[in-house]
Amino acid sequence: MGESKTERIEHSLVNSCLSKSEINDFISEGKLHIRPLLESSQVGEIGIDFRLGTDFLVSIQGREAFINASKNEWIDRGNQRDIYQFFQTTRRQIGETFILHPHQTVLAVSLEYIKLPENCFMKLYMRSSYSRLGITISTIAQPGYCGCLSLELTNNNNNPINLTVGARLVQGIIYRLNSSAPYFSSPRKYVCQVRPEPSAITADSDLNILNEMWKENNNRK
Amino acid sequence: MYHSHSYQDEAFGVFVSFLRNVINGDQKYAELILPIITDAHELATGEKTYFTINRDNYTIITFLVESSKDYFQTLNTGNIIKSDYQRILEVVSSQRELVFA
Amino acid sequence: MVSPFYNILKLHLAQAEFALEKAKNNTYSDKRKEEYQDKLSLLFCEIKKSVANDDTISEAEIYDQYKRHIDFIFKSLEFLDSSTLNQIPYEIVECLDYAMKDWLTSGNEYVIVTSLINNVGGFSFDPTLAYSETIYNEIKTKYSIEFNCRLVQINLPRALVRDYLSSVVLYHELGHFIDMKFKFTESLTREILDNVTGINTIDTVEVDRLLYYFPYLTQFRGINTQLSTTNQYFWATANHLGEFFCDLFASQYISDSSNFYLQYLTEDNRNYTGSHPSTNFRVNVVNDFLNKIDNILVNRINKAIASINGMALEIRSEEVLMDDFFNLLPANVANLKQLHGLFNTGWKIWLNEQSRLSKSLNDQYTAPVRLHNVINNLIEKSIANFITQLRWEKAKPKE
Repeated sequence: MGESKTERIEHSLVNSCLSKSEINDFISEGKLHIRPLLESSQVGEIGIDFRLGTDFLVSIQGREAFINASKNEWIDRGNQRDIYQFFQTTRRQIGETFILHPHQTVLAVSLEYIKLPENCFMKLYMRSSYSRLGITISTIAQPGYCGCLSLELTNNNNNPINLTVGARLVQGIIYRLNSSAPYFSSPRKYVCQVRPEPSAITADSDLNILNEMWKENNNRK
Repeated sequence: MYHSHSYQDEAFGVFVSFLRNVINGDQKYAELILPIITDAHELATGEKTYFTINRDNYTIITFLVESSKDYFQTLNTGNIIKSDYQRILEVVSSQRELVFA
Repeated sequence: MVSPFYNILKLHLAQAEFALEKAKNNTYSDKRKEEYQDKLSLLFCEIKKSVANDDTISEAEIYDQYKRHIDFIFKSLEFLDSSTLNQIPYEIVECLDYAMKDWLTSGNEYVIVTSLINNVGGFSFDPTLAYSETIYNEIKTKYSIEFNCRLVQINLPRALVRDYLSSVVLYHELGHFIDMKFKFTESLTREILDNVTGINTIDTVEVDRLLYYFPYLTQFRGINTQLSTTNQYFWATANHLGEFFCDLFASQYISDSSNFYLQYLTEDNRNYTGSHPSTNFRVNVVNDFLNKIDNILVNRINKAIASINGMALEIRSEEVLMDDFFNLLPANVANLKQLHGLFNTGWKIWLNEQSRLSKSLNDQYTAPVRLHNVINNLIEKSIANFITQLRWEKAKPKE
């Protein structure tokens, strides 16, 4: 099977993933920061284990009919509610547990606050033991990212799963780029976050253009 | 901000209530009152100072002594009788009106 | 027929039962709060039982026997309800707890609980339950119920529950609790008044130095008559000394962090009121203490503290370098002194180094809320990391 176009681009930009010794070198040289790193064994052969943090945003069903992930005002009569309204905040202490219910979206963060080098990005994967329980995750941290890692957890199992706060939950694999890409070269939606933050999707400027197009097409200017 | 609530009223309310209970014959309350009266006596006689009396009951002790020093100087804390409790209740009731008027 | 007062007492009981039922759903991380709440339920059952057998009770007896105890249940619940992990500003409360433990080294266990209120200026200490052991002793004597800990109640504005800059004033509020426990300044008030009136003679120069801070007492100089507690100037002096003490108490941990904020909030810096000294004086006394400049108030307060519990005001914080924050990282806090020192670092950046912090963010954010958010997040995570690491090391099996 041939390489897709995306894969070809990735190969041209991405050098390789960092090995254990490289990660440790980056940490000791102050290029990569992980705070706290409770155990040095969190750094594995090809990545770093990150722990489940103490704060959660749990999706709830309230009086609002739907989350409007567009700028279309017609559909919600211009009463777009903050996405925060669809989540409830809850905290735990390290060592306590958190029940992840089937098919529920839960936003969590890593216990560790990280700062990536400007020439590295990180892909997060669920650790195998948790993947086998049916928990999935999809996250990427941009080059130079600083903050706790956002963990968007979904339980695809039919049974609730009790997770321990502070447990090693995800694995981050760091890829080196051929050039630097400073994180704050443009305004970022998520800055130094330490608690989970709901989607800032409506801040995407493209949505405004798309909404203008919709107005044009439907004679609503 | 930067305010602390007044707590003197609560302290006096509790003490007055204790006195009434003792006067009505509930001896359990006598045990709670005795250390206060003893400290008041010792402050009045100079055996203790403002810096050494019991801190928990400080407000009541100082109030009693400053209201009726002579009485507490001569009070026999080894043998407190009903009329003593009544006298102390009178001291507290009459003087408090002045303080919190 | 039972009296209307008895029926009102039963209404009060019904309200307490409802509140306790509701509180049963509270989840506390700290087991001590859970145990305290269980004791409240026990107390309620005892009161209810006693009231049921006492329907001829008089109005005065209702107040003496029961009302105070039901009020105690409500007051406790008011603070416990707001002290679940989801609501409590956990990180700041942990810092306050460490400070409190510096001063309460023996005796009963104290738990800091918070009540979130809507008034944005509503930082205060509520001494209702902690002012005295008396109520706990009474409950133990009357109902044989012993509470496992005492609640230290602090009010804070709901809107500022995660604001680590304004939270520094909570150290001042904690000072009120400590002062109330030991009666440092109330004892000192009597001594200072006796010095001014001449009942207890001291050097005239020293009297001059005292009157500088309490100018309204000049009229009583040398009168040789004791100022009683019925005199408004007695309480003005006591209040002023209390505020001076709390400012100094706080500055042990947060240095001069609250000075500017205090000046901003009070607007009028020069004048005193019956409850508070002038802000200028408060700031001067703190600065003298921090800079180790001889100051009569600091000396006299320290002397009073030493004679009551053998302690002293001392600088109990350490500077935390700003570099981590400028690198957009939580600070690596090495010890408890640095933990308290974090707040001063946050304030220094906010007051003097916003542009440097903004540069770290490539000047992408002009709105103050973003910079404030960054400082808040970094302080919170610095505290949280310190606590996490401490507990991890404690729980980890020893090699």
